[in-house]
Amino acid sequence: MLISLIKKECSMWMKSIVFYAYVIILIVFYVSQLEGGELIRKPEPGGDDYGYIYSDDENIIMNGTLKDLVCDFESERDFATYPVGFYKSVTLSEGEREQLASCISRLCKMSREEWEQALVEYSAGYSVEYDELGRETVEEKVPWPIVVPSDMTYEEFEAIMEEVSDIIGPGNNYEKENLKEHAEVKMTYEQALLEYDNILYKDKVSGAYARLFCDYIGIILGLLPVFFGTARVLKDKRSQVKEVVYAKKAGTAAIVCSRYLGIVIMIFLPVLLLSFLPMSKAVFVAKTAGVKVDYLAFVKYAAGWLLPTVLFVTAFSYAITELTEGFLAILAGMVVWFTALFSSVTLQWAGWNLIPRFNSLGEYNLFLYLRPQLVANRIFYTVLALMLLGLTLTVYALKRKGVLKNGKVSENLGS
Amino acid sequence: MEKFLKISAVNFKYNLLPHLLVSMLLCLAAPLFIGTRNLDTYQVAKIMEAYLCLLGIILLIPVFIPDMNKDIRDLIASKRMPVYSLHIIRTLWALFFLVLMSLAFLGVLKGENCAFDFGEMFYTVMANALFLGGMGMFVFALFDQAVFAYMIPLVYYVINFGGRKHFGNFYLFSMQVGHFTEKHYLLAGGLIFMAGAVLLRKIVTSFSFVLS
Amino acid sequence: METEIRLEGVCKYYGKKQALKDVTMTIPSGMFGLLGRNGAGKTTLMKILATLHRADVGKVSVCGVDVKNSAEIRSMTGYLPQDFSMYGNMGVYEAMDYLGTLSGLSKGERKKRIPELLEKVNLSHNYRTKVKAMSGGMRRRLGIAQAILNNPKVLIVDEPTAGLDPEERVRFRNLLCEIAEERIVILSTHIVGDVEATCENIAVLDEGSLKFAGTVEELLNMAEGRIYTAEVSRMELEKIKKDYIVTGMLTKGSMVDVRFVSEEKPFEGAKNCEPNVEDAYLYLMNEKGGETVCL
Repeated sequence: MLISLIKKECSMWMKSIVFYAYVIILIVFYVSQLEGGELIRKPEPGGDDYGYIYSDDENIIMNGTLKDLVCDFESERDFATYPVGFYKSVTLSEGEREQLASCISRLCKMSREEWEQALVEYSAGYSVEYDELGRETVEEKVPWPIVVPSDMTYEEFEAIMEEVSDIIGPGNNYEKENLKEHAEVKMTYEQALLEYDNILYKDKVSGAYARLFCDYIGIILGLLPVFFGTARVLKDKRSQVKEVVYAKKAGTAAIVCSRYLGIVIMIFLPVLLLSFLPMSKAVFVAKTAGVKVDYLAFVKYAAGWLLPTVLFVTAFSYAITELTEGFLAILAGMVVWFTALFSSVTLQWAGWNLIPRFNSLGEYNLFLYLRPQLVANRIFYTVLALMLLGLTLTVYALKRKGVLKNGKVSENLGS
Repeated sequence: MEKFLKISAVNFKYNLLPHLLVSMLLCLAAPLFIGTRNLDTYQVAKIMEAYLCLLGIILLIPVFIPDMNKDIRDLIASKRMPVYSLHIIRTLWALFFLVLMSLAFLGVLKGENCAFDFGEMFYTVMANALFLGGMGMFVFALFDQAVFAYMIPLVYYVINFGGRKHFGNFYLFSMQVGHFTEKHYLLAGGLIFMAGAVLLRKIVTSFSFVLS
Repeated sequence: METEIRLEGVCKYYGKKQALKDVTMTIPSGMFGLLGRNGAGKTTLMKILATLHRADVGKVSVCGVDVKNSAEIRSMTGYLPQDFSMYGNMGVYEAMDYLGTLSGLSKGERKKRIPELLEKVNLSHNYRTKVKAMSGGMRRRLGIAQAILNNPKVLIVDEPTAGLDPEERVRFRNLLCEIAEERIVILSTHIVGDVEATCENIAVLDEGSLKFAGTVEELLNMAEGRIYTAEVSRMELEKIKKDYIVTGMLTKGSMVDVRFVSEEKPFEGAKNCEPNVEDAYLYLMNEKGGETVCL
């Protein structure tokens, strides 16, 4: 019965304007954001710009962070934080600045007077010149003087940074996850070549493209399923079929799950079909480079990366709408999407965010580094989705028995 | 006048209230994740264009919700008062609260020592809110499908984050880069959408003709 | 195998308001009419039988199965709610197919039964007609067809004839009678004529209490000898209306043929006559006060 009901749900969606709008939006979004994007090319030796890379070197992280912190502190401006992506400036009180200064002192093992003096000397010897093309040349007469002493362990450093982070408040640049960002270094030719080889042989080309695909498509899949869940529940209300369906033999689980899976299928199938486009690009690149392509990469990435998003957002809107029978789920979904998209700290980041980002082609090693958090994240949202589905089942069962009604107070008296 | 008050009261109690509460929540929740102190004009523009303008969607789309049911629609259409005057009254109330909340919000920002031109920012938020809300109303009137009516403007809003190149003069986030011209287009577009929606709804009701 | 529905001391509350008050009765197989004013508790009772509501107090069993066992009950009942509707953009056949699937019918069974039933309710030429384009009568017929898709032992029909034209109403009643040949059909109505024409057994609910349960015959017997007719002038009519329960009148020029209830012969010229179900019903509702009559 479940299979046959799912089929019926799917054919219902085939007649729905919401579904067609979804497909069109998906295609438009793909074309406008991803089509024609970069192709992977082999780096040539002797180039001067292979892009940047975040260093894993703890020493570089520690010193980079300290330098940024001192600059932020001394510029006397408010600290920039992004609690959910929007800029929020934080002005520290005199006491808090005092605390922060002591953190800096502990990081460089210098007194406040010492490092402030060092900074003055550095600034005196620092100049920037622009040529007629606007290119800048930085001249440093004195090397950057405020550094982390060599006996500082990374754990000690992290502990102090945690204090710093607490002082400034949520969403700041010195949170543990963001420390690596202060260690941006230029990529060498060897690193660039290694990067390229990783794409060819470890990612089999298609993996790199699949990640970029998931990154972009994940953004709209964080929102669009909301409309499906709400539309499905309200369709029953509007067509006044609730009671007819309630009285049928079909179990609550069969009814709710068939609707849920119907939505998930109708959302996920177009995504899979769409992935043929970047897939073909990957095949082309792989053929040119003469390597074997992984044809299943897109399916694997989409199922592991995008499906949990779809599962969660669908369950979220389904549960809320079943409970309230109104449009609240759309607004709530909007808030969730908004928060998720703009609280992503960097463009290569998963954390516990609903929409994991990986906005680059390649960077296999960075992906390997992020993979454990991505996996944990995706499992988390799948579990959350199942819990919400359980909630929906309970609500539907109670409504069916007449215990719960519409989530509204009014009770119609039967005649 | 009595009629106007009666219709307004009924609309307020049975239709507008929950949406009004959500709107207020949106405004009150703002300081939780948006800085409201000492902002420069671009930062204020970002709040207006990307946050506060959502009030337009929340407040304007419900204008048609009470007579979504065809029987109710027919019933209302059978009364002496023309349907569009009902819709216009509801729209006006939605606009009233939209204006009120935007003014209050901007007032608070001024009080928090943000630097911006009050009139310009008010115009900005109105333009975006009316464009998005009006778009929703128009889709609602055309397809008689509430979820779809929320979907289209929200998606339009979302894809605007992708950059301005596809949207021309109807780009929502222009003030964040200091362009004001778009706001005239958005406001005009919003007004046309709203008028078109009310007109379309009148046609739909009088012919009981529904595209869906 | 039992083929009857039993209710014992059933109570149902909506907040403070009591919708059913200690209802005890047995519904045998065949057509069963549930009469009562609007708001008397008929729909509540039917929803309890269809497992859409739960009784707060009391025991209900359908063909020997407790209604708490909702899965089993649902597989042996068919339910047609008061305002039956279906997804507007579904065609007739598609709607039946969908509801058939929900009733747990296999593809083969659906293919066999749906055309049969649509034939029975005279919708065999409307397979592709969209629900939103159907008239009230057609929709009701679709409703009854979907309710008997799973060949239920019990069919529960709420206000089936409300809003139908006389022709449609008669056709619908006959259809229900046909269906009732091999099962229990419970229909609720406030139109006495429906019951008179079709039901052998009836129950009358009033403000949640059971006022009467028994056969139509028994109801008629109660009013036997208490229904009078008289030809009176319009002036006199006003007085009669004040003193008696008037169950019918027919104006003939300046005179009126009036039909009313009276315990004894009221005045000269009044003639005793055979009661019909409507007379008996009105007598019951007005004369018998709060008393429950279970024969």
